[in-house]
Amino acid sequence: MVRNRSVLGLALACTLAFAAAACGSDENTSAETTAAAADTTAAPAADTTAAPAAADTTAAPEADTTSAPAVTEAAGAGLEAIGLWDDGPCDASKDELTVGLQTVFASGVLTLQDQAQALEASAVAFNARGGANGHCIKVVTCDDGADPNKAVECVRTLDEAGVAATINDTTSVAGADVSAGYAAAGIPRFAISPGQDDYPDLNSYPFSAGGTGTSLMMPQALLDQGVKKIAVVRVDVPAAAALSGFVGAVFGDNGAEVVADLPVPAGTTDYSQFILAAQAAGAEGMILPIGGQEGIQVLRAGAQLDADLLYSSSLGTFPVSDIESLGDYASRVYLNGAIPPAGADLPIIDQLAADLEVTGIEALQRPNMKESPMRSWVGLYALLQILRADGTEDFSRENVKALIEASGPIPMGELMPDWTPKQDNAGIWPRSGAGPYAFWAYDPPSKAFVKASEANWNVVICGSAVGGPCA
Amino acid sequence: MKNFIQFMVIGLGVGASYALFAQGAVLIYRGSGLVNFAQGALGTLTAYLAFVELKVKHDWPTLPALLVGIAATAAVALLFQSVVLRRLRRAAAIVRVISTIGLLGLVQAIVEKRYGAANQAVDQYLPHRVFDLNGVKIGEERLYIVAISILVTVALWAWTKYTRIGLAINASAQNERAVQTLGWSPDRLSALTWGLGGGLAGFAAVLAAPLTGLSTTTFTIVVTVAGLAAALLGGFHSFPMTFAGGLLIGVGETLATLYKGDIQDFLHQSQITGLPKAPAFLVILIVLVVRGRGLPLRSHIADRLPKLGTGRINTRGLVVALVIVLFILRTVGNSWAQASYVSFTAGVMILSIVVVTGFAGQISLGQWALAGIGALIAGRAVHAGWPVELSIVLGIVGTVPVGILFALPALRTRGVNLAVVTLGLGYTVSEVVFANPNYLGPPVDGGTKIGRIKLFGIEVDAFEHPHRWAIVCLVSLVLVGLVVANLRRSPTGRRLIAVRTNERAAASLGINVFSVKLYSFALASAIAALAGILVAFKSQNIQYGVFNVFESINSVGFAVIGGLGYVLAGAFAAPNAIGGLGTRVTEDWLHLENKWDLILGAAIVLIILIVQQDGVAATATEHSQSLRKKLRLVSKQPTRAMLPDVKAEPVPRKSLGVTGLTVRFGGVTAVDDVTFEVGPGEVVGLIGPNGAGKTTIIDAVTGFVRPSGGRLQMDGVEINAWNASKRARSGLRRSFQSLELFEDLDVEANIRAGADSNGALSWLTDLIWPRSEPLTSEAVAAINEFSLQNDLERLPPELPYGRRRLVGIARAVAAGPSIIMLDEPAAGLDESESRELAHLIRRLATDWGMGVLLVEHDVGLVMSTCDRIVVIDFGRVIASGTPREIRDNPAVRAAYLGQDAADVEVHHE
Repeated sequence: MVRNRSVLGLALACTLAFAAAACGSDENTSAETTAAAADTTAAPAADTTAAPAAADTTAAPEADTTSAPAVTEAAGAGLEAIGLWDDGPCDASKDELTVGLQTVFASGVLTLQDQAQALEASAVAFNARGGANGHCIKVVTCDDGADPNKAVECVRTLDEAGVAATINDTTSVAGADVSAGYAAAGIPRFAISPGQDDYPDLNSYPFSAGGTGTSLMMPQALLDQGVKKIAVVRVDVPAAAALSGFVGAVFGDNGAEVVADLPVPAGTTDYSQFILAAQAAGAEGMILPIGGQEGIQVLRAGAQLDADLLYSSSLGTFPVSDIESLGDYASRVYLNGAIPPAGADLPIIDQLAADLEVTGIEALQRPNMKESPMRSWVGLYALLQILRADGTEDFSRENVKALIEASGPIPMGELMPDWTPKQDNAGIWPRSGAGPYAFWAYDPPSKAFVKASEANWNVVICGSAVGGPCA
Repeated sequence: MKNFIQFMVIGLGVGASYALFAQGAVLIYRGSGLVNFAQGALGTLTAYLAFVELKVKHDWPTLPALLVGIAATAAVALLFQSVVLRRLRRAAAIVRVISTIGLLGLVQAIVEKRYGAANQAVDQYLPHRVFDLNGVKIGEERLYIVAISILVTVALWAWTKYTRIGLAINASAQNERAVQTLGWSPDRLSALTWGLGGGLAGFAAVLAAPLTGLSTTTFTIVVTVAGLAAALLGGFHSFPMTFAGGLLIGVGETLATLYKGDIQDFLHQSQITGLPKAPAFLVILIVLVVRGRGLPLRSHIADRLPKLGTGRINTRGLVVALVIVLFILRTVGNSWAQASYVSFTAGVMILSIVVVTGFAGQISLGQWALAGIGALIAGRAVHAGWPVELSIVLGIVGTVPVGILFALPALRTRGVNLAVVTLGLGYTVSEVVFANPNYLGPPVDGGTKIGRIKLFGIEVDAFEHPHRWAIVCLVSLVLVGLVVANLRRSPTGRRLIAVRTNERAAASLGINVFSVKLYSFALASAIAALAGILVAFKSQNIQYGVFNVFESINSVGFAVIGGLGYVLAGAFAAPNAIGGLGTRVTEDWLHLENKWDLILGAAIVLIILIVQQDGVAATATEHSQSLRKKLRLVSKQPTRAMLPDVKAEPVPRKSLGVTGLTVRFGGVTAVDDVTFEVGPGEVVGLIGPNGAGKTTIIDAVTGFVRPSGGRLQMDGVEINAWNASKRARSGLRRSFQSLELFEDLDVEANIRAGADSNGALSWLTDLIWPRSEPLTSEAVAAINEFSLQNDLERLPPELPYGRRRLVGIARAVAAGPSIIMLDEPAAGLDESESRELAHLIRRLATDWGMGVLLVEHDVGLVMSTCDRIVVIDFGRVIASGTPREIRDNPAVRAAYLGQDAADVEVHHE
């Protein structure tokens, strides 16, 4: 029992540090967003230079229906067929639906500005297709800079900006304060990427278990490929140190064994040591809950040594272009995510990509697009479905939250199974989302991701120290 | 075994990279005596210029891109040396060091502005086949890096050892004037090393970038954590040893990666963090401490030190300022309240640096690690259900022993070595303690959960009640400020300043240098712990990422800008803290964003350092005094009460016995079997040619040099095992040939430093109620004896040389020692001053009853003053006797006095 509790504790300690690993950190962003309170009725400029800081919430968006994003050929054939709609441009004279996003725009650990840029681009796209029941959507974003003070300040900023809900916000520091702050302000956190302090937060409505969940699902991809001896190459932070214990606890019954736990310290100059250490320990596969910069160096080292290992990581860590750069060795890499990768050949992904690519921002171009910005689009898409289903024009945070709470399964088309936002899971992480994950492998000849297998988070962890009882 | 060899090989490659980064830093240090914290940032600049700007954006071929990138970085380093460092030539060492941190900030901000903070991969451009040697795999590019690192090391070693310019660079760091006399320009030499050092940083970076990827911080981390440690092993001097240090760290790192699991099993730990770098660093730390010295050698050159404030409290001003701040706090919104508490907390941390670095002169770059320890202890206590108030006290008190551990290296290292050692200790604590979930509390919490904080029953949670938390932080800042001000004005503060100014002089006055250092670290760690608790307790779940070495470096920078020697530094520098009031101003008022705020901030740091090297507080104090005078707000200085006409009381009569004293430095015997005695009321001369060993004898007798043999006794009690300060307290004092006054203290404080009593309790009571004891009767008598009444409030540099000499002797006399050893007291005096000095020395013997050992080249003074004379040559006694006997001794005439000595007057025995 003591041992189990210890394992449980270790497992639970996987906080948002994993966001660094699983939500991505290293996209090439050269273009920058416009002012933080985005003019979401016009197509975002590709090369603007204004600051990505806290919001100026007073500026009302101006309608500009001429700059609507492209409609893809496939989608153009029938948006409704893929679960979308086109009601024409939103009415700028009506009250706006204000949504917010707080994340780390850029720091040494996390660089998630693309989440904010993507939400702004998504708002532009959806405004062109009718906004929120004809009302325009306004986006307010805030860069917490991975600084605890700024993180708390962001809550105040978004509160004062009058946001009705946050979408896809990611908190890497001061999570408890941020969660408590949004709850106190009555701002529901919709489609967030949850961290450690968010799992018990009943004000949060994630559709997946965030970076932590993604990291914890990585061994499953290897098990699906018959790999049982696993090396963990991870970020060197306290929370991540608990991962090995968790893997043993959850996947041990399936024969998984962590043979090496290899933290990657900051300033590492030779990544081949991790490959060789894993091999020395007898590993057959490696999970990479780690930042993209370190992750790609590990994979490159593996490719250089032609190491006989399989790798499991997340779609939040690597864009297609990174994986593609590995050549044939890329076929050894499996990436998981709750939604399909940008490289998946699906009409709704085509439309999502088109909505974001129109910005011209490098990180939002399809080859560079990671899961984290895509979630902004998906989050807004899901919220709009709730509002459309009710037909409401009351965008107060109280009403929006009530509608979210009351929402039944939202049709998500090919993105994921239908999703019920208010989902209290059994086990100790009530708000860890519905938990559908797919594992995608890169196919070098076709240069596309193909689904290798899939699993549900709640099923995987059931019966373990953190999950509920298995059905 | 194969794995061991494999990881050794990888470690050599890693270490070679570290060494490459370190060699540039060593070169710069050798040329300018300065640790360049911007070395990694310069490398970053090169890599971005070469790989992103030229290669990707402008489609340049690789080689030209690399060469231009390296050359551009060398030019930036050169520019920095020319524009900034030349203007800081006379600044305190720490100011110059902080200027490199300003450069680091500036370069990093510009790179982020231009290229973004996102990480980028770099394609390998070196051949990168993999060789398999009996199962050991070696990447070809690693071989190139090792080979290049060796070549660079050999080239630098040969260049600095065998070329004229290399030798001049070596000499320049030691003694600029001497180099100037040889026709070299120290500035040009410094510029050369900066250019080359910057280029080396760039060279190292372009070699490492394909292996590390590009980020704005990677190379800074490499240099700060591994590069400086490697340089430390080489003493910031030896290129081969630096190379060895790099290899040691590299191999240690990779082997730790290989054997991590085994080590954990061996130690029965479920998790050990910090393994890769901590052990190698600790090895270097041990080497350094073993190699260090308790007290600096005579050759130690005291740098100019940051100016000191008075520590006087302007109660009216403080109350008015508090009322204004509280009023403003009431009116501002939550964001400004939050910025206020961030700044107030930073102010508390800055005051901890003022104590340890500003007052005591010990550079600590590990203060935020200590803050984290305080937060951890207090946080865990709260988590365990302890009352918050008690937990805070526990956190503060519990951190003190750790602070004392940090101080231990300070007992044998100083200056740059101490800075790097404390930085390494801070890094080790961060990695080993703060990165280990097992130490932080239940891992389920992902930190240390403390919930919403109440103090004395009042909710002060920073999120819900930012104004209240700001008041808590403000009160803490004011209380700590008062404590630090009290310390500055107290005898304990004088001891700290004495040690900062001159450890040898302090020890000669009976000040226990080790105790002072331990005390300053202990007090500073307690203050840092409070700062850490204020940072931690504003969150419901304490995260420890903020307690890192880079925060420590930043805080030292803030303290320097604020005024390292001023209590007001806490107030002036605190707004600069990230997220503090300065951030609000730049964001809300100036609307500076998108890295422009960072660029501006770093530029302002450099400008302040150039314009006001003693910090903003120094300028503010000067202007404030000037304004008050203009407005006639300053009452006329009260006339100092006349000192009583105290006559010298006889000192305790003790004799000094030196028997068979031998001192060796390596293979050189400086003092060889010297025996003599100094009795109460007796003046004994010790003469001999230059280099005969006279000062070494004083050093050995007073405890500054460890004798190789012989017996030293005070009144029959053997004192060989006593340290310098204990010997001084037992009544054995000295003056210095080079004066070694406390230049920052006025004459009275100099004399008080020599006469202060220091009860154990005063270490604490001085913080609350600083003593203002009247001068002791011996001190007053010394002042009268040396006619220093009118100089008491003047600083030593304001006095003519002859007066300064007298202050040096009076300071040694002020405690009424039984034996006083005067080292060339007449050096630099004119004839009349020498005559007066001779009378004074006689009076010390006859009226005070002191035994005097007089080392002097003025033969007339010696002969006319001494009762007996000991003559040494090449470390051996060649004669001893009365002045007449010595004057007439043919051997002495031949060795030292010359044949005209017969004309010299002698003291009438």
